[in-house]
Amino acid sequence: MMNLINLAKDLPNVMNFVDNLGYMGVGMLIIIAVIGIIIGATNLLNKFTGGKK
Amino acid sequence: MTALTSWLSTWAERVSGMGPLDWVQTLVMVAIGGLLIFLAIKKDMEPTLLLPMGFGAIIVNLPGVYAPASEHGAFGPLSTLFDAGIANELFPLILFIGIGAMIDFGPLLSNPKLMIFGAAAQFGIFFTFCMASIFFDFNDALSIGVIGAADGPTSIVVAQQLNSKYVGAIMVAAYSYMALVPIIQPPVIKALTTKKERMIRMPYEPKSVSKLTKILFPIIITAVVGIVAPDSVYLVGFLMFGNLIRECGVLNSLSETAQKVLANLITIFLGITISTKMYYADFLRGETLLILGLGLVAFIIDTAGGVLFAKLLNLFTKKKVNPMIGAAGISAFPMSGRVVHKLGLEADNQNFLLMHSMAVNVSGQIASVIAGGIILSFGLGA
Repeated sequence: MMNLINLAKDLPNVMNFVDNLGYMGVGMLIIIAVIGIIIGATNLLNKFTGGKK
Repeated sequence: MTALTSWLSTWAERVSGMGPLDWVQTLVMVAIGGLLIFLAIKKDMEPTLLLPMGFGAIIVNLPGVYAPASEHGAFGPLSTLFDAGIANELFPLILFIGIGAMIDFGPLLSNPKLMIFGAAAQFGIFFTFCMASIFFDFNDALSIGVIGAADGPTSIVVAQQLNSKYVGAIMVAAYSYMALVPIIQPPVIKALTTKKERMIRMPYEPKSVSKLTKILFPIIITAVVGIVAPDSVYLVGFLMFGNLIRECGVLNSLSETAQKVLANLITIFLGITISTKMYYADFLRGETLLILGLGLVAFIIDTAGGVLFAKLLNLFTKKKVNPMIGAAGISAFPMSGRVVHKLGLEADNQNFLLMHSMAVNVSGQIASVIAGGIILSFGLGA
């Protein structure tokens, strides 16, 4: 296992994957937050503009 | 005779630099062009784009056509069109007006919480970006990641704005995999769900949505996204402008024009113009194959992200959702929604998921544009 990890470390740029995981986290967080805001706003719209069953 | 000599010398001058390998590569590109046309006509795979791209690929790879010294650009009028409409992102943005005018947000507005699946299915974009960053520099990796948006215009805008060297390969991957959604998604969905889960029924309980909601929705989305991710305001804004034209009720002729004439015109130009990036010397590289592979990864992870998120949600909710609808959160509309509906019927012939899957599919359109904006802000801010 350690050999594999060492091998991976020796490959060029392979650590970029780990370095960029932060972007993945931030990106997904922003999308979910924005969609959350839109869902909330749409629910409010439906409530105040007569959306009913 | 002089004219013939002049023509011969011009042609000979243009092809004189071509070695045997160049001729082989030229033939390969012409064959790829032919393949795209075949897939478009015979297999009905995204014909509106694959056919012009295939035909354009043949044009730009004909021996002697490439003229880098020409004052009109290396590919004459195609280069002019590229500069006029793609280099400045005008074509994809205008196309968004047409797409926005085609989208009915009604089923989504009736059940807004389904939008969350659209967000979850963008995971593949960011995962693929991380994968691509192993092989490519930062901005190229970001552009490759956006293939996972399953959204051609967004892919073009992001790749162009981030000045990616691989616009042609990214375009081909994005549109080819969109066409291949009915082949790519089912095995991934089946691998991640049990038959019992695929049989979960979701009764459709439509709620009436007021006209005011339909009018305010595109405006609110543009404002929210514009504030949070300003770089994506034009992507979202043009999409939502098209939808506002559709929903306002007083611009029916403009809405029809946007949906048909405008979208068709831009699609014609877009497809044939993007082929300028399919010149053999730029396209036939190891990187292209790698990009095609990463594009496939993006679509698979998008699908898996949506399904797994739905399964996770089911752990905490009483009213279970069919986890397959998470897979419809990618932007490939309406293919992805149809795939999920078909798989639902396959598991249980009375399981009608179409309205839910289409609502999620439409939310994928919104989420993919937002994701494109976030990727842009990463690239432009780096």
